[in-house]
Amino acid sequence: MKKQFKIILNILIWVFIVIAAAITIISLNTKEKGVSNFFGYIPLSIQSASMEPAIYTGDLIISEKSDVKTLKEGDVISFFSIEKEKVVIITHRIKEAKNDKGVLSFVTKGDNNELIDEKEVAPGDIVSKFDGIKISKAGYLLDFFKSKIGFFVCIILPLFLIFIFQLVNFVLIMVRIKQDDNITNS
Amino acid sequence: MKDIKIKKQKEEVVTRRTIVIALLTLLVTAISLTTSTYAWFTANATVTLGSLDVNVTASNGIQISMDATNWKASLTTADIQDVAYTGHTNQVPASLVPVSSGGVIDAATGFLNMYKGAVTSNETEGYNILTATKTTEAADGSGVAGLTGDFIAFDLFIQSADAETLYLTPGADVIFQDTDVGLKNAARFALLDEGNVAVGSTAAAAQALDGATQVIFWEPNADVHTAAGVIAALDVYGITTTTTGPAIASYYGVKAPITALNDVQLDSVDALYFNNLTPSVSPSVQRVAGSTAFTQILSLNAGVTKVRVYAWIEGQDVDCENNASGSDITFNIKISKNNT
Repeated sequence: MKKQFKIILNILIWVFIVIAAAITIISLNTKEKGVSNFFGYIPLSIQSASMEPAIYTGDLIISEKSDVKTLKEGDVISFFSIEKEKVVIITHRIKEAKNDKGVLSFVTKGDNNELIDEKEVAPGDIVSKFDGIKISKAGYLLDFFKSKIGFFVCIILPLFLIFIFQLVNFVLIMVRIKQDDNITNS
Repeated sequence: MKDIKIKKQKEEVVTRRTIVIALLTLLVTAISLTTSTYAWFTANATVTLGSLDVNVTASNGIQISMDATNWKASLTTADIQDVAYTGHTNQVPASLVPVSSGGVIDAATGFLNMYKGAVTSNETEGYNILTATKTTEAADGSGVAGLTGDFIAFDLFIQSADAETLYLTPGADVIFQDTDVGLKNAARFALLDEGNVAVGSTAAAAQALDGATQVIFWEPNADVHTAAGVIAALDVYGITTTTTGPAIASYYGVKAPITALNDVQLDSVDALYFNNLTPSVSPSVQRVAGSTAFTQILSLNAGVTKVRVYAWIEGQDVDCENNASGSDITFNIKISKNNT
């Protein structure tokens, strides 16, 4: 029973370490303007209701880098925009892919918005294309993980406790071996 | 006896394996903890406005780029500093030093000649004289925008399907986050049209353009002065003005090196000096403080146009005097092809 508990505990610890490592890599890969890139996949947390009912506020979408030349009407894209002097990422649907004498641009609109977006999207502002992979409400979790307190509570603190546990475990093993050696020698 | 020996060997193997596994687990945990702590610190470093920020925003069918490859609607200081092609001559220094320009273009490089001035005393008579030395952007070609220099300079590529007239939009301005004492009024921009290539041309062809022949000066906050600036205008330049709503004045931008031998008195009214060294400059685009107007600034041909952008603190402006100071400056360049 004790052995089974130990095995389960070790599995849980290793699963947690792998998850923590993945989240850490995402954090370290967070480039300029707050976009994380995990082996080509870009997790984004939806902040508004403009794409309902396709995507709800708080949903986590997994989007991918895409060749802008392949984008077409109906595709859902995430792109940089400036709102109130701040750089934000917007996820909206392409209403028209324009090619004006070689100059590409995209007219976009939120499914839940009445009007098309005021500014056309330039190719270099496009972050990724949404291919339908989403996890309901997990965006809130991502936002929490990315927050200062969330990352500390969910990643750093448990890792620290695991480290202390492993350190104590290692010391106990060494003490036990030493004791066994002493008994054998005597 | 043999069994005991085998048992002991097995126990030793188990012991070694236990130690290795425990040590490995400890090591992995330590690495994970260290890495995640590093990520936590770096990801949550307090984000504050840099001491100097440049934002360029284009709208209504105009696209902008730092390399003539990656076309966007807006560019930030990070975009300018991350420009990746080698051979560029961009610079966004951490702070600005007052410099002056009389609007002369270096034909060899397409650069705007800039001069850094100093006030010294005439050795025999003791009156104040002006000296100035040329200061130029470093052409390190490293693929990373320079972080040193006295002024901001960078190449901006503008792409348009058709020939367009370009306007500054409301919000195009210089903003000080901290208390500004005069520098906002002394800020200047200059745009140099270096040439144009067709859409679809190579980025290298656009990057190589350097045929500027005309300077467009843009003076924001042209109609306001600080109280100290009003006094300096009278004492140093012999100009009578007021703090708000005065007639927009020209100034004596420097167009050539000035040595002590030139003996240019600070308050000189000798036309010879002004013509040769410090001509009167009237910016072609002067905007009043808090302007909500659309102001015509440039005419573009269809295709990709390379515009060299300069932003600096004009040392010859009446507001650039001893009391002038400020920090956390943001230069907002907002352009559109529409005038409404």
